[in-house]
Order: sequence, then structure tokens, then C-alpha cells
Amino acid sequence: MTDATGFDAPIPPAARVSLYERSAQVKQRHRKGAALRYLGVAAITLVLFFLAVLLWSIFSRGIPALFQYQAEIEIYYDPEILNPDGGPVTPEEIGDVSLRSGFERGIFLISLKRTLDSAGIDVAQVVADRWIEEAVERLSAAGLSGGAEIIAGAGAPSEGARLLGQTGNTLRAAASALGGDDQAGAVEALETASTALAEAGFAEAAATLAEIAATAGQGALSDAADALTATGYQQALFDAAGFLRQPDQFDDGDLSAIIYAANRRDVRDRLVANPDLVGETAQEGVPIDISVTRYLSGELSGEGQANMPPGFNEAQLAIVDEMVEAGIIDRNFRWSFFTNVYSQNGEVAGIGPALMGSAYMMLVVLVFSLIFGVAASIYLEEFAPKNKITDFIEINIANLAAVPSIVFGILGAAILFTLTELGFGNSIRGTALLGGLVLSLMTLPTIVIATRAALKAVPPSIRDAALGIGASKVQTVFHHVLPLAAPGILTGTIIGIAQALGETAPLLLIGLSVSTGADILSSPFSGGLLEQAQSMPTVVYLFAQNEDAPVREGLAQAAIIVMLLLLFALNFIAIILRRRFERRW
Amino acid sequence: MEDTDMNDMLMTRNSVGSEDIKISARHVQVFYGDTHAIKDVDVDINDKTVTAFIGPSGCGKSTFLRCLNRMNDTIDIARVEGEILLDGEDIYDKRVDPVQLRAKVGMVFQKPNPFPKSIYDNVAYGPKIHGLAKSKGELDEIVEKSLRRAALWDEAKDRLDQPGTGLSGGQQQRLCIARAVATNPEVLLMDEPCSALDPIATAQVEELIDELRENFSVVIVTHSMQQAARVSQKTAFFHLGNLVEFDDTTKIFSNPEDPRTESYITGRIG
Ligand SMILES: Nc1ncnc2c1ncn2[C@@H]1O[C@H](COP(=O)(O)OP(=O)(O)OP(=O)(O)O)[C@@H](O)[C@H]1O
Ligand SMILES: [Mg+2]
Repeated sequence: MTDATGFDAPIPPAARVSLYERSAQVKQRHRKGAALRYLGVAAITLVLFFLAVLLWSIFSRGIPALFQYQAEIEIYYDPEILNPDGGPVTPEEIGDVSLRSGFERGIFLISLKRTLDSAGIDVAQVVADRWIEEAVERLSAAGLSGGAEIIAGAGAPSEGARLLGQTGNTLRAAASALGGDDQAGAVEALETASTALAEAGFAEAAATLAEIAATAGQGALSDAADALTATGYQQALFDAAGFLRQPDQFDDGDLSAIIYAANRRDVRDRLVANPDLVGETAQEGVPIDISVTRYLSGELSGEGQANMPPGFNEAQLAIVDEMVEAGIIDRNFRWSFFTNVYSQNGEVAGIGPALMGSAYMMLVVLVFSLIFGVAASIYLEEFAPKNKITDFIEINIANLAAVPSIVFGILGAAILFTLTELGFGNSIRGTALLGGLVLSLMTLPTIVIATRAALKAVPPSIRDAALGIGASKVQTVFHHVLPLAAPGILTGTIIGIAQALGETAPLLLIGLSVSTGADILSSPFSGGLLEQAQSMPTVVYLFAQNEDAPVREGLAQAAIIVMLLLLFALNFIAIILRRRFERRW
Repeated sequence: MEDTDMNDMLMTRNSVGSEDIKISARHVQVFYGDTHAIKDVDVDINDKTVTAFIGPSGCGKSTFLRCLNRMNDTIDIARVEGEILLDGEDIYDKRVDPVQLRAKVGMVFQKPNPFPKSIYDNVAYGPKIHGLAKSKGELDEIVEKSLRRAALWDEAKDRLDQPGTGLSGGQQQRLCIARAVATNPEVLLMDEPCSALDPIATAQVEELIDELRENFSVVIVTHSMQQAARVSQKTAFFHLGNLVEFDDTTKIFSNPEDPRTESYITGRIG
């Protein structure tokens, strides 16, 4: 070939380009590469940011909810309440005592009072002091200084209230007089008010009113009216009077609202079992009302209506403060959260049945979908003839994977409905077995797809090798292909189960949110599959629907944390298993 | 290649094979879908003989070899026609279980494909599933004998529990040979067993093939004329799916009848 070219037409030497200089093409390539890299980094940053926000919002609320404030109360089994007629009490009589009036409003209230007493907390005094403080603050905010002495001088708070109210009334009369056109009357009213203020002891305010009276005396009635309103005395006096009337309205209900007598049933049962306790005392931790919990944790400051736990007032919080100071309230990890049954009341609500139910369902899903899924995949991948029918089945399995979970719930509900018509639907409604079966259906396609992909990924040369030395098809699959595919199958299974663990919609439809789950807790192992259960996601859903903010924004997150931990544990197990399987090869 | 070299080589091995026919193929045709890969091939493979298949790449050597132990069954689109008799029995008969057939007709593949298991398990697998060993000691013996025959024992004896996939390419191929001979097949099909081996290992494998000839019949596909000349007693030359010439190796290499054979062995086609 070179001969043909000859010397006449030498190939022009290529222009020498230094390796150190980048050509335009190379530069563009680098630019594209850099752009792609930045895009990737930006995407990951965004994802991490959202993840951080999510985790923060869950953990910042969920972790505190895992702790519970309790009042350590000396429970006094007061014979007077247990048997108002006197005489010894029989277990039957105790069993008949109403939980609400006899125990919550009776034993527990009396015990709380005794406990406060022995801690040196004078409830009436604390309440009065707190309201007086409020009143003084209100007054001084309006420039009415010296309120503390005046209220103290009046004697009881109610007396103070009367005094302030009367003074306020003179101011109101003055204001309405200024609204008319009777100048003399107005001036007189203003002077009366001034005198009243002076008599009550508000010297500065009295002087201010005298000035306004002077203004009014010059005929500038509307100016005087504006000045009077600007002082805000009248409103402050009425408000303060209102505060001072509060101590008299404080009753036992306000006091017992602080604690949540959750264990009253336990206490009654204990008494029925052991009537000798009547007349005795025993220390008992009683949960603090869950709204007050938010005050104790510092989430609500307790100042102003917006920061007040709903349904509580300053005086109750003052008592709580005193209890904290006296060391009656302590904060413990809330173990009961993991063992209690579900309840509307955040103080005692727990996820015990949900944990049990979810565990049972995972078990059902594991058994059903793993056995059927892997069997189906092996058959389809290794043994089934490749024809239209298997293609059709394959497409439909892929379709099944894309079916929304609620559809499976509807299917479960339909089965339930049929069973109910046949007469035994109620025994299966809301059970872990039914839930597990529905979730298995949902998980099956995921496992089938993952398993088939894992089987496909096994190199054909391995099958050839096994077949070549005379292994049968079955031996080839079970001795060589399946072990190689195991890590992939495992990963698919765990992903499927994790999905199932978090699935809510289908479980709501088949009644896994209707019972408190007490049954499954009382007999976790005998017939646990056939008891009314709950599941983690449905209990999160129920918590998130609760009317109390601390449940919505605390317990729900705490349950989510537990669920996340379970998922992490599952993934961790998957990784460990995969490592072990892989190391063998 | 000079004729004197070739003749020397042909002298090195005894060129008399058995005259008993082990495998007899008649009118064999293989199709891959529409591709006609093997066209009407007739071959007799003698017992206790090494038969070499030579021919340019893609001519169908592997395909024909795979017909002999029905490995083509595993390829969905492959279709085999004609008749292949092993000891007078049609291996494509409905009554024949290919699994049983493959225990008799072992195979070493073109690409080394050890199981991702230990060296020991690789070799022991065949004897285990065919129940050839009564005890662990017997199994150990079979493993050692097989590895020795495949010239791998010295390199592998200290690492029997290590994965077979961790061996070098050539070692892996010898492991596959050991695995194939461990089941004591009557016929051993070897598809380019030495393509990944160095000259020393190649010589060892050729030694092994010569040894195996005493009991089995061996069919070997090779691209090396020298190898075919060295180890085989019979040679078949394939070209574009046709069996062009099949005769004693000495005859093929010294005095081929077909001009295509001559061009191939002298390096002009292929
Ligand atoms: N699985 C298959 N599917 C479709 N066609 C195939 C398949 N295997 C082989 N063929 C075709 O059959 C013909 C013969 O292939 P074969 O592998 O038998 O060649 P060979 O002689 O072994 O070649 P080489 O020496 O390169 O190994 C080729 O044309 C090839 O493309
Ligand atoms: Mg080949």
C-alpha cells in the first residue's frame, strides 16, 4: 500500500499539538463533566436537606414524647369514700364503686391533696398568690402602681376584687358622662372617680384623673374622653378584679385535672383483691395530664392565653410549679408506651398491640410471599416453557406491582364482606392474619420481580457447568443458581417487607384500626394471629387524628421513630445476611 | 509449518486407536432459529481414541460437540435433527434422560466456568450427586486423583477450601477438567481446553488426554494444528457447518484429500 502512495504525495504531517494544551473539544467535555457533577451534588444536597428536615421534625417531637411526667402521689385508700355508710368494706362493694366519682374524684383527689399538704403546699394560698400577682401585673401595666399593697390591704382577694370593681365603676360612670353633653356632670363624675382612686390608694392615677377633669372643665369634653380612654385604667381595674375573683372559683375539679388517674382501674382491682389495703397508703406514680406535660417540657410558656395548655389556667400551673419544686413530679422514660394498648388518651396510649400486630403480619408476609414468591419465580424463570401464557403471566405480575395498595385493601374488604355473609367474617376482621394476607398479596409482585432479576443475573455458564457434569435441572437450580441468587432475593424480600410494614391504607380498610388491641396483648402467643390487632402505621394514623395536640405532635412521631428503628433493624439484618451469603462464595 | 516437524509430531504418540465405535452420528443437522449451523454431518467416534475437531471459527465445532451430550437442549432456539448413537442407543430418543447421558458424556467448556465454591467442592460435586463416593475418605481420594490428572494438584492441594473462582484462568480451566473427569465419564468432550493455558500446562493436559484415552474416548476441539496432531488419532475438519474431511490424523496432516483441508492446515484459510 505504501508503494502506491509514492513520494509525490507525501502525507502532510499532522500539526503537533502539545499535550499540555487542551483542545476546544476537550474543554467542552470538561465543562459538560463539571456541570453534571455540580448538578449531582446539588441534587444530593437537596435530598439531604429534606431528609434532615424530616428527621428533625420527627425526632424533635417524638423523643420528648417518649418521656412522661409523673406525680408521685401517696395514694390513701380512704374508707370513707369506699364505704360511705361506714363499717368494713367487702370486695363486692369496692368493685361497685364508680371509677370516676369514687376513684378519680375521690381516692386520687384526696390522695393528691394529702400529698400536697405533706409537701407543705397550701393550694388555696398558691392559687390566691398567683391570681394576686396577675392582678398586680395587670394594674401596673396600666400605670396603676401600688396595687400589691392595696390588694393586701383589702384583706381576702374577693374583697380586693370588690374594691377594684367599685373603683372601675366610677371610671365607667365618668366615661359615659363624658359621652353626653352635660359638662358639669362630667366634671363631677371625673372628680368622683379621682377621689375613688385616691381612696383606694392609686395616688398617681387620681392626679391624672384630676387633670382630665380640668380639661373637661374647659369644655373640651371629647379631648377629656380620649384622654380617659388612653389611660386604660378602667379595663385594667375590671381585669384585675376578675383575676381576684378567681381564687374563690378554684375547686377540686381544677386540682384533679392536673393528674390523669390512669391507673384507677388497677387500683380498684388491687383493692378488690386485697381489701386489707383500705385505710392504708401507698406511693404511686400517676401521669400528669398530657397538656400540662407540654408546659413542663417548656414547649408552652404558660404566659398568655396562646401559650396556656388548653383547658388550664395560671393557678393550676402555679400548683404544678410548686409540685416540681417539692420534687413530687419526676420525668421517666415511658416504657408503658411500648406495652400499653391503644387509647384516645395520650397519657396512657401505647403501641403494644401495634408492635405485636406488625410483627405477626411481617411473619405472615415473610412466610407467604417468600414461599410463594420464590416458588413462582423459580418456576417462571427456570422451568416454565417460554410461550404466550408465561409472557402474559409475567406482564400481569409486573402490573400487579404497580397496583395502588388501597386496591388490595378493597380486595381484602371484599373478602371480609363475603366471609361475613358466610357467617365467620367477624372472627377474622381486623386480625393480623387477614392483614398479613392482604400485605402478602401486595408484596408478592415485588418479591417475584426481585427474585427473577436475581435468578437472571446468575451467569448461564454456571448452569452449563452443572448440567454438563450431569446435574438435573432441579439440582442445578437448588445447588447452584439459587444460592447465587440468594442475596438478590433477600434484598428484594426485605424491601418488600419494609414496604408492607409501612403500608396503611389497606389495613384501615380491613379494620386494623378499630380495636384497642387489648385482646392480642392479653394472649399474644395463643391465637395471636386471630385476635383483633393493630399495626404500626395504623396506630400512627390514629395518633395523628387525635384531638390533643401532644398526641398529634408527640406520640405520633414517637411511634414513627419506633417504626423507623424497626425498618433500620430490618435493613441491618438484610445487610448482615447478604454479607454472610456472599462471603461463602 | 514444515512437513518434517509435522511428521515428527505424528510419530510422538501411538496413532492406533480402538476400532470399536463409541458414538456414531448420522445426518446431523443443527439449526439456531433460521441459522443452519451444522449441515448433514456423519461421524463415527471410536472408543479409546482421541478425536480432534478442527476448523475455522464459527464453523460449528462447538455446536456439534454440544450435540453429543445434548447440551443444546438448554438453548431454546436450537433444533437438532438426525441421529446420534452412543453404544448403539439413540441419545435423542424420548426415553433418554439427558441428565443420565451427561453423566456418561462429560464436558469441558470453551470458557472456564468453575462453580463459585471451594476447589474441593467443585471437584466433589459431580461424584456427590452421582453417588460415586461412599465415604468422605473416598471422596477425598477422588478429588485428589482428579486434580492430579488435571495437573492441578500441586498448585491446589494447600488451598482446597478456597474459592475456585480465585484461581488464574489456566488453573480454572484445569479445575474444570478435574471436575469433568471426577465423574468417570465414558466420553469426554473438550471444547478448546487449552486455549487459556501456558505451554507447560498445555503439555500436562495433553498428557492427561493421552492417559484418558486408555479408558475413555475423548473429543477435543482445538485451534492448534500442532495440538491436534500431537494428541489425536482421528481428526475431523469442519468448514461452514459441513464436515469436509474425517480421517486418521496422520492422513489429514500429511495427505489431505480435500483442498480446503489442505489450505486450512497450512494456514491459508481460517
Ligand atoms: N446460542 C446460539 N444462538 C444462535 N446462534 C448460535 C449460537 N451458538 C452458536 N451459534 C452460531 O452457530 C454457528 C457455529 O457456532 P459454534 O459456536 O459452533 O462455532 P465454533 O466452531 O465453535 O467457533 P469457535 O471456534 O469460534 O468457538 C455460528 O455461526 C454461531 O454464530
Ligand atoms: Mg467454539
